[in-house]
Amino acid sequence: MKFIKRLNIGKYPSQWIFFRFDDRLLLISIGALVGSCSGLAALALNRGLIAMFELLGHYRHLWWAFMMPGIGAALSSLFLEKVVKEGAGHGVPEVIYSVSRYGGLMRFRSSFSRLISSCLTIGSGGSAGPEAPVVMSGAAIGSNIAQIFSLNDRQRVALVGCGTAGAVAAIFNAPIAGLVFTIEVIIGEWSALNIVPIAVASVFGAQVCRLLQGNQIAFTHLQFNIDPADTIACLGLAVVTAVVSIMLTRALRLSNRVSHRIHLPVWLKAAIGGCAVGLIGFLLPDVLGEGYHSIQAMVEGTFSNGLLLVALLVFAKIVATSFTLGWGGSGGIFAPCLVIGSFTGLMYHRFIEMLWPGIAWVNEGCFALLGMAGLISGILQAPLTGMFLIVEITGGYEVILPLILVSAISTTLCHSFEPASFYMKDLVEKGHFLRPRTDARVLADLSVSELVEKDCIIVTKDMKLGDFVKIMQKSHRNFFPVEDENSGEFLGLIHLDDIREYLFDPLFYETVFLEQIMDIQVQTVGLDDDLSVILDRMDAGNLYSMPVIANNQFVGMISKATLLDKYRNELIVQTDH
Amino acid sequence: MKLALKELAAALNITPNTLERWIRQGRIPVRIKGNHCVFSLPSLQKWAVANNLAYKPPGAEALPVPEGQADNLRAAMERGGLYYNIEGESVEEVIRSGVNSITSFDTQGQRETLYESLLAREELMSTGIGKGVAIPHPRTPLDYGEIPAFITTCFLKNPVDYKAVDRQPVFVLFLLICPSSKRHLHLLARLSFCLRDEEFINFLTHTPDQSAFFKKIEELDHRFDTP
Repeated sequence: MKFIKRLNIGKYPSQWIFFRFDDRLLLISIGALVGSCSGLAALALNRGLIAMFELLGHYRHLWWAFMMPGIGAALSSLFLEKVVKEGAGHGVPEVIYSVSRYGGLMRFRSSFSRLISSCLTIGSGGSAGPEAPVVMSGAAIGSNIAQIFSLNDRQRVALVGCGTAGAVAAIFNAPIAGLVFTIEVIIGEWSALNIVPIAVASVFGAQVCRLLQGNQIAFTHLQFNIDPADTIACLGLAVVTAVVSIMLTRALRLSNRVSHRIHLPVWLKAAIGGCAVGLIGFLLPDVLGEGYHSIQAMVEGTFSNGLLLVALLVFAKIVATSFTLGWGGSGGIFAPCLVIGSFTGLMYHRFIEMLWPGIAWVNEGCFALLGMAGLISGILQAPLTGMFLIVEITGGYEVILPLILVSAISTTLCHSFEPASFYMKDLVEKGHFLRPRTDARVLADLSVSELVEKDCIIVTKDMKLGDFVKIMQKSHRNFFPVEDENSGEFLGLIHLDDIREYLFDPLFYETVFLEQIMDIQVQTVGLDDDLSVILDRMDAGNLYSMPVIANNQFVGMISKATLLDKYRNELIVQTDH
Repeated sequence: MKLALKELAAALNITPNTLERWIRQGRIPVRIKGNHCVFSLPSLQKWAVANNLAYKPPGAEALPVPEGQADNLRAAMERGGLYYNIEGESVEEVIRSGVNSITSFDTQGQRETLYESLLAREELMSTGIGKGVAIPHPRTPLDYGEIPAFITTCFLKNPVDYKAVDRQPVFVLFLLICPSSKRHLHLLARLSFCLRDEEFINFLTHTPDQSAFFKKIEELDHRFDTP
């Protein structure tokens, strides 16, 4: 017992002397645990979806089958709204928000809520993917395990990343994609401190999945022999996928806006959206669900529909996805992207085959793959995720050259039309998108209370200028707040620059009261104001200092000079890894 | 090592709010245990250096008082000494006699330099500030080595025409010798505070003895410090 005490083994592993100052091993071992848990979560959702398909498969031919996605979406929306009290949405932006604003703090219930709701939405035929819910669930698992071990924000963010990576690695059986997606989209910071535990978590997530489900590659494909002509044709495909990506992004946002404008209970809206999807699915069953079976058919080259029908499918899937996600269904954008991408690739292939029938184009499955990469890269604006995911889920390394081209071009084109990716757009608009090591991040972390300078001499409104001059001699600041003697209320501010001309005339000393010379229309800031807003106001008003007021009382001054000092310190501390 | 949050924040010269946030965000190798911050001193110091901060152990040393701030008139005047019946009929002669009475200098060379620089200053413009008082001083601080600032007070045997601003003959000299401009201004401010006082001038015309003089200066010092 004494020995254990000497080792200083506390209640929490994070306090063990071994881990205290170098937490890498700690993060790696907890990361492995988190990765395994989120792998299991992914597996659970996968199994749940299969069970739902089998269960509901018997009713697909009935006349009311088009209502099934509606019922599923309504149930899912009710579950989210009433039972676990979380908003709809696909999950990834929520994880990014939590990482950037709250150091990865997430609620425990998030670790299962999305699994259930998306199982209802997708299992009943809604056009959405299981990946984002799994990401949210994995992230919440990571966050909660970090809280159990009482880790700090930086470590918690790393574990949220571990959860995400484990989940993506498990659901796609794609460990590298899990790692890359997490770093590129969720965390946004490439540092060894993050990458190592996240990579380990990816391995564990994928391993758990392989142990329980076997090592299957999601979409097997035929061998492709890619000619230079195909690579050149890919440039066109990149443009087409970029256009489709932008269409999908806009369609999702449009349907979201429309549904926001309609004042109905959320479950009813979800039901309407689901029924619309059901109706589309009645005509074109390929748009229903996550759609992996149609991807499989396309990659294998057995998808027989003609050009027009495929083009129609692209639009139908976009519309179905917008109705599902925009109107309150629960699920991710990942799988629909893959489906739309492969439809797009196929459409493009049919098109160029029609234009230049003489050229021996590579198999259409290859274009389906490239289309998927283009869509993922375009929507997420994460080219690496697109490349690695496609390589891993198809096992087709031979397509890597055109794959890189399509991903890069599609990302670039989408970026010029939609500067923020689909996941980030809402966050950027609300000012919640704070990547590590950025100006916004540093300003968000600093608070007014950390910057306020309290060494101002406070004066009263009844003071004579002569007395003020004496006080002024002792102060090394140019600003003097004026307070009400009795209530302590802030009344105004005296700035030496404004009164300099009166200071040297003794006639004023006995005749002028501070009340007469103070500036009462002074711009003030509160303790909870955002620094970026304060800086904007300073710039707009050409101010260098502003008084900080709380409950009508003067707290101190905030100045640009101090801000720069602290800002630099904060930047150094934040970028030192 | 164990320190309270406030103490550690002070040691790092940051606000407690910042320290608390950095600990929460895991940016600093410190953790919270109860009400205390626990850390290993070497790793914290290493971290502080890497992050452009300095770790100063609490209570080790208060900030040194800025140069000249701690000095007061009485101490400077005691260092310089008080002399009566200084002889001379002209500005040059009284300054020569005054400089010769200074005991802080070891060599004649130092006195010579001082004398020349004082005269140079008088040629520029008389330091006779009126009411029979003059404050001879070099225009720029001279290099006297380690000698602290001092004021030598010289009551003249016969009042001298000093070309003062009010044309009155001067009867007392305050030789103000400082190693830096900052000290010069510091002591000059105090001296000028005294000389604005009519009562003090009146007191001087009666050629007070040493103890009465220093007592008066101490009183004025006190009045200067408490507005």
